[in-house]
Amino acid sequence: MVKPGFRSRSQRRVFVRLPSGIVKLFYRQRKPCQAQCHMCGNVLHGITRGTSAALQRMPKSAKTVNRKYGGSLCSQCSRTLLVEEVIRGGEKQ
Amino acid sequence: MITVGTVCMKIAGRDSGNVGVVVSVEGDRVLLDGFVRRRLCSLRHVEPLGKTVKVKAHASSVDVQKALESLGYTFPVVRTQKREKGKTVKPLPKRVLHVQERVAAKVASEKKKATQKISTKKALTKKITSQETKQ
Repeated sequence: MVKPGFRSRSQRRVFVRLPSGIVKLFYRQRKPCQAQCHMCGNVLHGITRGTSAALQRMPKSAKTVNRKYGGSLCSQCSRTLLVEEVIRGGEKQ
Repeated sequence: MITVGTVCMKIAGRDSGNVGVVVSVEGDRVLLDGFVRRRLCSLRHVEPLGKTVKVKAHASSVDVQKALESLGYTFPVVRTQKREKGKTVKPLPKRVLHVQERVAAKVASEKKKATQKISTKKALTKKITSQETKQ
């Protein structure tokens, strides 16, 4: 009997053919959902999607966007926000 | 209208949010310098702040930065540096500290015993010598 935790669909199910030829059911962690823009809700480009273990092995430059508000806002929304700042009175850095 | 000396903010790329000055205009692109990397930028990636600075065409970045500082702009805040590995010493866990304390107490008690033994030996030898002298 499988672990009670595996009876739910919180884990991904993968059928793997072992070297012996037997097909076995493996339980793998699901990937998190794609990062979205906080303002418009569109999917963010350049933000990696993976388990925490996979993300730990990657450098920061491979995971996020090197821009102001990068990783939380899309390029269009960050542009509009910066222009608004300028209009409001040219906020200094 | 963007001309040489107009103060602009970059709104695209990794320099977005940083302030610079237009050093030269080349068609629909401008050479920006100041608190941004000196490079040609598209006019669509630049937002004028409505201020101008007296700067010569193709001025050096030092002159441009000085002009921007006179307006009150400062260099963008650099993110805190990563702490150096190997320099920070982690405190030992409690279980290890307890063991160390116990070992230290044991060593101290053994030393005490040894000194007591020596002192008793010395006292005995003194007694014997004094008795011999009396005889």
